Amino acid sequence: MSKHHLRALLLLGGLLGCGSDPSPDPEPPPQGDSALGNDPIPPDFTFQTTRPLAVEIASEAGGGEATAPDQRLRLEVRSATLGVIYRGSILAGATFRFDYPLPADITELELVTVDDSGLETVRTVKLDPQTPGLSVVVGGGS
Amino acid sequence: MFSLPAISLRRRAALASFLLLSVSATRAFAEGSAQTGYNQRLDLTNYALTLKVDALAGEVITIAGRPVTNAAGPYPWPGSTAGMSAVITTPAGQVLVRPMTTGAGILSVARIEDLPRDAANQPALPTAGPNAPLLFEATLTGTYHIAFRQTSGASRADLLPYDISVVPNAATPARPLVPPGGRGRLHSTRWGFDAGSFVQAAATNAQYYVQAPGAVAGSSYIWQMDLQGLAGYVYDVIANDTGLDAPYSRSSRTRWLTPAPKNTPLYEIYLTPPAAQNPAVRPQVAFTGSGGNGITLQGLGGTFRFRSNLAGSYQLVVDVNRDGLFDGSTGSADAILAGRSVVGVNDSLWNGKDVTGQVVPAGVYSARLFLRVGEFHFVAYDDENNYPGLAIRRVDASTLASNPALMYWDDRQVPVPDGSRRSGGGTPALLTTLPAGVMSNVTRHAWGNTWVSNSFGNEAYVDTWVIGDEDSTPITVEIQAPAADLDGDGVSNSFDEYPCDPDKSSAVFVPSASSMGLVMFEDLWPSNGDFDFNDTVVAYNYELIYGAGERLTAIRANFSVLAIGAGIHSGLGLALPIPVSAVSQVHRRIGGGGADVPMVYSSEGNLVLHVIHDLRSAFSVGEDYINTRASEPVRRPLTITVLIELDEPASLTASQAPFDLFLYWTHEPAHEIHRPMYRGTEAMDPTLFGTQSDGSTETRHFVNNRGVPFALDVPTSTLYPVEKTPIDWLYPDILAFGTSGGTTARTYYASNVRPQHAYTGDVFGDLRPAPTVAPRVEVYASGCRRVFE
Repeated sequence: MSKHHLRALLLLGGLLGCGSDPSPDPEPPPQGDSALGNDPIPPDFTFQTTRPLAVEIASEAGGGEATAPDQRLRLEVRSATLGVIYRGSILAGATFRFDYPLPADITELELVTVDDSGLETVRTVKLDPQTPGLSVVVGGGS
Repeated sequence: MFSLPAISLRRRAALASFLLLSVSATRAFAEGSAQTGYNQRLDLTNYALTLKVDALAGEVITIAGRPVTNAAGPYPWPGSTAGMSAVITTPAGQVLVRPMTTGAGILSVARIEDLPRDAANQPALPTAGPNAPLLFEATLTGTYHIAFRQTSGASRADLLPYDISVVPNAATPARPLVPPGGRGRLHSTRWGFDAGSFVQAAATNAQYYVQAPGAVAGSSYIWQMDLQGLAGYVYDVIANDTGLDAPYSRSSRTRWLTPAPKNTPLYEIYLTPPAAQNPAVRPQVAFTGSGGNGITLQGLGGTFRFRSNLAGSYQLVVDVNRDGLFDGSTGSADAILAGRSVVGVNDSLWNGKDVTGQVVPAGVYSARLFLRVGEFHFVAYDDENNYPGLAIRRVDASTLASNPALMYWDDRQVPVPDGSRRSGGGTPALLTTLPAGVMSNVTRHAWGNTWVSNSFGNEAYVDTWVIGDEDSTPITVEIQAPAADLDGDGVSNSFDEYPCDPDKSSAVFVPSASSMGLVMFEDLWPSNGDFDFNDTVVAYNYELIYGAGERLTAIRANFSVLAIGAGIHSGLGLALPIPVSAVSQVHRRIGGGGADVPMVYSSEGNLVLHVIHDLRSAFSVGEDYINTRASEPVRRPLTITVLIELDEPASLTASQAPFDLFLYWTHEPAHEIHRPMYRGTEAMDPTLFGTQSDGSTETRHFVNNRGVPFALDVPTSTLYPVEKTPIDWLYPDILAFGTSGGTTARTYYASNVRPQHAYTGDVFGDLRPAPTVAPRVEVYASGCRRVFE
């Protein structure tokens, strides 16, 4: 069948008022079709799928790793699965913190620093599923 | 209400053709070798061809052809009473196989002219006996697809001659030499032929007609492609709107490139002009920058924003080599962006590089933005010789008169074998007609007149194109060096994620800069629903933006409404733990529209906003469900972006994302539905708690009396259930996730998934829409301006 033409005809049918199914709500609940809730669900469980991860990134003051004239490193935190979760820069000697909703299947993160010469340093950090925080120092060479 | 914008231009054109077709006369329509020539075999050996025939209910499609082997020169198919069938797919999707035999589809003549003549002295296919066609009655009005299957025989066969006609009834003989005249019924996006040789006698002089949709429903540009001396031996005929796919668009190329060039079929190609209406609206494009003084950053690129009055194709050329030309030639080392435009605001993301992949250095450049409609490219592939060449003319859909058109080509990137490019008179043919083009009644696009295999077109893609209508506007682009600090926030451009905004320098993304999570709602709370969690499905992406002092200064929320599997009209709300007093601005953009301000209010002093008040109405599809039932067409997601700017500190953290994203009934806004960790806003009607099937407690809300929530969040844009399919059918591990209180199966959405219970697309073959993060437009090539200004 030509999906393009069929669609055109279905739309034309809709125009003429003969093709659509209004399906008014409320839908009749098909009790028992879903097994969700048949077995007890703990009374305080909210079906949250992520856990909060506190990320703390400190940049060494001065240090061996090259920093920009304004004493900054470009910084990126990323997951191989998800992609970039933080992008910005960090001032030498400063500490940047952020919290992130971590999916259970993310077990490591990559910290990418780039100095003003374009040199990129990638550091992979394993995540401990029992630990709520991650603390990393950058800027001291890798 | 019927909504045309929901369907593509190509489909609008198809619909329009049908409307015109419906009022056409009940005469016979015949098309085939009489148009494509008796030296061109319809190539079933090298191509999986599917031809399409438009027919009205009650008409009869006649199919006839003479199978010939693929050896040089046609001769009758051995044992021609068997071996080939026509595979017919009806407009309802029914696939029928009809054997072609002598007396039902198999021809014995080498030319249509050799058929017996009727009373009007026209060659005609008899209604019975030898040379009678295969008859197929159209029971539905629509397009019938015809393919050919070969079931026996020592070697595969092509067809020459072939004829596919439409007659009013089975008693009316088809007369293949009588063309339909402005009502072409036979078409395909790919034709394939085998001419048996490169010699001049095997060249084709056929004419084809290409239907390129106009910008307005029902209109089309009809292009006549007049081939004179195209000799490619085995070749196909394809038409589209860009030529080769990017990065080789609008140029001719050898096939030996990485990535390999690709020529994608798009337009329907007819043998006679199809029914159509002439375009009535011309394109108008407006660059929406700040006075044309654009600024972007070296190596960073940015987003060009423009406004279009119609759906067409755009091309933006930055004159990097400063030759004063905006010809779009990929050999010019300019920076070129191209794509399809939508009505309204368009964003085109640039990576700051030219076509060779080099970062464009700092400086001031001229650029030009083009908006085109009706653009048609014919890319000849591996066609060694083409002399005297190709001319493309525009056909008036009303009068069928053909008129010359400006033709463009750029063959400069194709290696030229010695002498083979020269025309017959010894005059060198034009390597390019850019930027001005040449009129097709003055110069044809010709190459190779040697009639041997190693001519210019050998293993090359040779593009020729025309443009229906065009508008353009100039732009100035300034590229700054990265060491500068454009916004003066103390973070140099190369370290600043938002180099144009002094209040922004870095961001945390949830789930990430390039991905989205999903919140899936049941909308009948406190009544139980069907637990398919597709009453509303919203993809989300948050960007928490920090200033140089690492203070949260803004939140950008990108939403993509993927599905509405319900009839209730609902709104989408967002409650954030941000004091209203800390908020300086809230802006919203829906789809490609302009920025506005959503309804905002305070709940216990914190910010609540109605992201959109009526999701269903925003789709404009009447009572249809949206992307939950295969029987209804796939709809494009509704994208909404909200930017909240803060001028005072706020304690919001990204780990709370997707925050309190909730549903409310449009006609009863106090009827809210949240995820279980939230108890509703101050505006909610609390008397709903404890009614019907509600099982809410002090610590958990919006669950039924079995503890099942009415909203679920997963941190990835994964599958959701098809209509009326419980979520545990799709994600069986959610049962263990629920009973264990989340200690097991925490990634239930990614394990043991049963995709047969997911919504995957429609019966028309279109796949479910994939959400994409809205492009960030902080950095404008048109000026360092923020997105909502």
